[in-house]
Amino acid sequence: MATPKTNLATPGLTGVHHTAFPTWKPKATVEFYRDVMGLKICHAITATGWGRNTDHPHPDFLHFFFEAGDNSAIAFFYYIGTQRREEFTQLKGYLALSRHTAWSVDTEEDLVGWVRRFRDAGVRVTEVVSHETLDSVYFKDPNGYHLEIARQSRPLNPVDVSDANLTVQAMVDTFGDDNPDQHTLADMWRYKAGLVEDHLQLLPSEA
Amino acid sequence: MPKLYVLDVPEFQPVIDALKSQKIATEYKGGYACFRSDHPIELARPKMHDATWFGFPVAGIVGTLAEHTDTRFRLI
Repeated sequence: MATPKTNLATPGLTGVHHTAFPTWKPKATVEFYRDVMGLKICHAITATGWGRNTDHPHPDFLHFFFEAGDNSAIAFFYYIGTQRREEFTQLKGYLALSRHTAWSVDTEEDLVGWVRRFRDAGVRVTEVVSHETLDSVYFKDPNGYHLEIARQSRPLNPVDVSDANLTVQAMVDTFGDDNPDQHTLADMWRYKAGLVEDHLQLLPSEA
Repeated sequence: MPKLYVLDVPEFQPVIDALKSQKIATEYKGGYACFRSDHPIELARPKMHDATWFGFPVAGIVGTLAEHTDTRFRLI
């Protein structure tokens, strides 16, 4: 099972401060996050390029932040004079969906409120999609970045956490890195059953 | 003898209820419902979201996953 790579205690974390992305559309980005979503700009820096004289010259840039609740932010870098790099913004299909930022809301009312707000502003947004323990809506910003707003539909309990750890262990043991033995998900589910059985044997019998 | 573990949480309850209605031997322990049968474990999709229908075997299977389509699940 888990083998710590260090004996040092895990320092604390208090949530996401910010995530950051490059943008080649600073105007549209500001109009979306500030004017459509209504997020407040909370920080912005500008800098002439760092390391100009190295083998890896750095363009002049701006770095600007929008508040996203609970002391978190979403931020963008605008590198002046650079060409848009579509590998950042034009992922297609499931890979595009896999890389996203998801914000949280506490209530169904807020979730539906975001749908209404986006539609009122002419932004395409999904209906509320229910997952295992999340209800989510999905949309994209002008850069093509995928965004989600999610509401936890029920609190996660100790069984959820325990099972998640077994699932992740099954994933690691089954697929390793790059899945060299070309296992399938069904292979992993079979392996997981063994982990669950071992786990249950360690529990006291239920009356 | 196929065996299916299902995490006993609300989102997977439609699967648990459907399998229990088939009188498949069921054991509850540690937050899991375990179904075992001498015959294939078959299930027509109850009313469930995609994420839960296609993910409910995550707790583990013993046997061969013969079918898991949009509408049916069969473990042999």
